[in-house]
Amino acid sequence: MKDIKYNKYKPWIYPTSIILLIITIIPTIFLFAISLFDYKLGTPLKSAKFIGISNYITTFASSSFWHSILITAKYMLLSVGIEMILGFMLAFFLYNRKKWLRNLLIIFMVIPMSVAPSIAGLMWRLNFHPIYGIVNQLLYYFNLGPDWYSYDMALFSVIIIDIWQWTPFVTLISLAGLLSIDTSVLESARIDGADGFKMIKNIIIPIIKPVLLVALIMRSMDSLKMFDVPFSLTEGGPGDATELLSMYIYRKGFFHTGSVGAASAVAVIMLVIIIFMTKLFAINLQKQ
Amino acid sequence: MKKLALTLVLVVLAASLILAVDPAVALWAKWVKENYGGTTITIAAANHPSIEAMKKMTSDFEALTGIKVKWECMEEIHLHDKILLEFSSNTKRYDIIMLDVTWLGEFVSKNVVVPLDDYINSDKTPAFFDYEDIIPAYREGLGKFQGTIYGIPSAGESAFIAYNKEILDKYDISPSELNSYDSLLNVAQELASKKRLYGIAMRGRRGHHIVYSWLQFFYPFGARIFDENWNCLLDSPESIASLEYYVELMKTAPKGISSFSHEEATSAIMQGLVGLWFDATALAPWIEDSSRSIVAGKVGYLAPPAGPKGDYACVAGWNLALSEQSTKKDVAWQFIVYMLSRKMAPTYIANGGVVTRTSILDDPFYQNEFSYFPAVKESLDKAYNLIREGVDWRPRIPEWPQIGEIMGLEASLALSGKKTPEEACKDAKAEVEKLMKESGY
Repeated sequence: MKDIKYNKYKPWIYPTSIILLIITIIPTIFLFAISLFDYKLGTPLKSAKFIGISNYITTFASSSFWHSILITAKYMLLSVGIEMILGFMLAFFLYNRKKWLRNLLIIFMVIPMSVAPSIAGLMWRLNFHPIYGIVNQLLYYFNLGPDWYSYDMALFSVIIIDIWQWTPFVTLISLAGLLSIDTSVLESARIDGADGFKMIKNIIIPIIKPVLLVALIMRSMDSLKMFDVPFSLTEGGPGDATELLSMYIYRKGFFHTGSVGAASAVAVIMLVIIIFMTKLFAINLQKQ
Repeated sequence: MKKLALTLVLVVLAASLILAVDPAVALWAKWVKENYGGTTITIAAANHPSIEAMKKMTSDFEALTGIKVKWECMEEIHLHDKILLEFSSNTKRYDIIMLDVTWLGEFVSKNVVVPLDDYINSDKTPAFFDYEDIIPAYREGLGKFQGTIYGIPSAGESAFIAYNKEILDKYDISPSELNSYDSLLNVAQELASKKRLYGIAMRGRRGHHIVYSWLQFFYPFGARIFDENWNCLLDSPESIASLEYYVELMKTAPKGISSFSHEEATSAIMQGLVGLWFDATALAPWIEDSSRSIVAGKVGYLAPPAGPKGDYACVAGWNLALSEQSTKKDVAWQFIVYMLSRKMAPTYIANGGVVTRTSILDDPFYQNEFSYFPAVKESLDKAYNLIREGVDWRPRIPEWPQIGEIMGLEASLALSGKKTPEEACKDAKAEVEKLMKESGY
């Protein structure tokens, strides 16, 4: 490693570093700072009062904050869990197909991923419409047709959209992992008598575990921050059924309340949670 | 000199006859083109029939005055946040903003809009604008705050009931039965029991939408949000009764009611899905638009019935206001003068605009032309009852948007069945009291 002359290449990194500094570091420092003030949107910045950690205390004492943590956890576990399982199954299915068919199917799989999340939310808002939406039109023949926007169903609607959009992501990553397995390992395992399911459980998964872990980390981080879909679909409602943490921050800071100081405190808490989880995953990854 | 003036007038008259433009407007337009032609103004607005009408009139305006108009339209709830966001970031993006009456207190206290008295009473405003012609309830109730004019009413509204004549005839229900809230509930329940039909369409989405619907029953049932000393009365028996009534009535509403804004509610009646509808008078043009509504011409309108403890109706609406950060206020003012003037009001109405002027409302031609005008007039008369008592339909204090959010969240939880109306009202009162204390009341 000492051979690489870092100093020679440093100037090439400066432009990106400066841009990153301006776009990410400075706003984050502002976020930390403003969370210690009582600042309302629309008032001049100078008029903000310093109130120390009062915003944080109010947040931890608020039951709606803990409710949104619960909703976010539910959302993350269900969507990421189903995506990982479904994604891996799909990847395995693709792995066993002929190359031309595999590539064709991959093209179709990319489509959900390439739709902007807020547009996906709007699209599915029409699909899930209890009377005119295509989902209930089809379910009508099975005598089903739930109200996708009711308090009980709204979170599942958001989860379904997430699964629809990001399972292909997990599939593609897992497929990349599967295709990178050395076939000689599989051959020798087969000779030793390993059959289908045993092969998957004891050979394939341990080999591609790092790849799967990467997919897991990325999906978990994204779903913790998820905002566009619940915003487009239900705006956090009905009641607080789809009030994920990001929606909670939006409601505190913008949605007619404008308490930017309080919202920033929650955003900082969210940042800490994400950093903590990333650390956990990173440690796990290094062990592999 | 005299010859020049005479020639000018003749030219303008000729031009106006050719272009079918009123001579007064043509003269004004010429002056505007000379002084402000070539400037671009940006307007922040919500999706609303009044805005659709103005958009249709925009190309004529641009041709007459040489001012270019950029429209930025979005959903009304997001409009509030977008305007504040742009204002906080000092982007100077908007010249004119469409201002809901409920935001007036907040925007004035944050200096987002400027007083318009000087504009109206100056030579920047031609006589054909006629500010005094605007309906008094709208002049006082929509655009003025603490005695100063901040907005020109562009779409005043009350709320009323629309009923599908064919559906009611089919089930032998006479509209005169809708004379009390009890019978309204009964009719809605009867209609909802029929196949492929729902009772009533109203708003139910969390936030200001559900509060809009709840308030229709709130006041007639005798409830008030605050008393004279700003004590919160949201947990009074009348308030709880009104929320219980609303939740009960919404059981007859189409599936998905908990996410309905005025758009979904009006779609429901426009597509013949419901027998009844109770929402803003300003939306009647959509129901009567035969290009989008299958029930156009088949709908009757009624002012809200008297409640057990009061005969009131909503007064609400939108203004056009000048953004404080705009560098083209004089130019933007000319746009407001044109669109909301007395002279252009017939064109505005013909394009689907919302009536804000006495000259239009009292005109027998329009009362014949638009089947909903008599009901609008009756609703506005009922709205006066509350104004006479000195009560704002929605308190126009700077804290209102936040109060609306709190009431909107609790009402939405009650509608979803997660809380009883009593719990929702009590929790709402607690939150509102906390807010008022923080604001120094």
